[in-house]
Amino acid sequence: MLREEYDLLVVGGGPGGSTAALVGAREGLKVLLVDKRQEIGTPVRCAEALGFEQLEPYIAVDDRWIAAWIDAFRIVGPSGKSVRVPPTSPTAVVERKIFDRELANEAARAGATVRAMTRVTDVIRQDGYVVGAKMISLGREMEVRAKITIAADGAESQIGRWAGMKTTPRLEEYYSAAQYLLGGIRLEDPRECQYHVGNEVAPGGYAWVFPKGPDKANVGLVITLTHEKHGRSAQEYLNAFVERLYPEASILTMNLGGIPVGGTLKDIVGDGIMLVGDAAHQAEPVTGGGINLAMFAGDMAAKVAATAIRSGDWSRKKLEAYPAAWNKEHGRAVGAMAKARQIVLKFEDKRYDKLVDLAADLPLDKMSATDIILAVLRHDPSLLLYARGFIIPGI
Amino acid sequence: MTNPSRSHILIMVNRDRCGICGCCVPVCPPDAMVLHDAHLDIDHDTCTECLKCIPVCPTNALYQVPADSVLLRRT
Repeated sequence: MLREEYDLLVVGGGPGGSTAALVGAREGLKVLLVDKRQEIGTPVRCAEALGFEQLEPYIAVDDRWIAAWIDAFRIVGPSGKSVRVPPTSPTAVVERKIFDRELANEAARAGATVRAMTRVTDVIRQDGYVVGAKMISLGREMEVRAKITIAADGAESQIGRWAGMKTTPRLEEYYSAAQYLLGGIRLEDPRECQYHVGNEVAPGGYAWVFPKGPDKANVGLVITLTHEKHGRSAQEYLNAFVERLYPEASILTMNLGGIPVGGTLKDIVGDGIMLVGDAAHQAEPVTGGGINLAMFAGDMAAKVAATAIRSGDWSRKKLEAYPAAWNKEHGRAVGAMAKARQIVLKFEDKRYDKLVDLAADLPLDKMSATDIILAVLRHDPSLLLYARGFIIPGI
Repeated sequence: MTNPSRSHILIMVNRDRCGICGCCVPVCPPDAMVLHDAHLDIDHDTCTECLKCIPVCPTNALYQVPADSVLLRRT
């Protein structure tokens, strides 16, 4: 059996894991990044829209992984009426296959060791600490000892469970997702991302059309199971959506997956271990988008790991600096969105249409988020009833 | 072989439909979903038949059958 020793073991080569490995290596740690897949970046389980704000510390924008730049988002209500919303930061639909691989290479360039096709089979525990993991790397058994382990192993995270952390999402806080990459279609505006809402389209969720060029798009949807009354799967809703919008389309790729959207887990650190990204339920709860947030979390976790290792103490207490930083920067907003999601999910189709109608008349590009919320409430004060539990916690 | 003291039903996976996406893995309370590179296995000794996994599956690949209708080989 192979035995290796590192300061930091990162499990999972998605954006969160690669950023953690990159930042850890820059901090001077000896880092190993492992991914169970044969090819980092595949299979893609993502609609691939990415905001470019705060991306530059990690990776330079590269045309090889830009599929389409986006000028606007369009929200389409159940009646078909829609409203166009400008993006708040530069946004593109990317090729995750290439983006993820390049980000892992950035980690390698910074000094981390990267190993694909390396599946963790168990964590090694000693005196309550996670002290590394057993794995099968390129067909050989390997035992890795590490001072700190960062689990960035996605929604189906096993590492957190094996380390004794409570990671099971509740069904009402979980999106079931299906997506096709459609080809041979004609997009009206290949620089516009569309979101379709409505209980027939995607109960407890939404459908999207994200262009990847003039005649290709990621078309998918998420549903919440507790809002689905007909026993239909995400794929059945998707088939109906595609049949209605693009009956002539070819299916180039199918992607499936689940997204925990209940807001960040209560415990994301333990002695010698930290969870990052979907493994920590850090995705934005309404949209389910998680690339940027996972990268921020990876950065924070790696910096806390470096400080802890330099101080000679990587107990849970020391690592609590990571959730503290996360909650300050993003965790509270993510928690608020988790509550907002519960409100939005209760909307009837009529209300979605009313909101789309109202928003269509507002100069959205000249308004702040607060202005928009106030304008909406002036128009439809009954929304306050939905918002009670959101504004006054505990009700 | 199933646990006779408990099981009346078994959760099965239709491998022609399953996309091996792992969507069912985190929602399974006892961690009975075992995701391999090319297929999903269900550990029937661990499964508590809570049925949470069935609606979560994006392709309807999971279904239940009466336990006495299936002969399972212990591997």
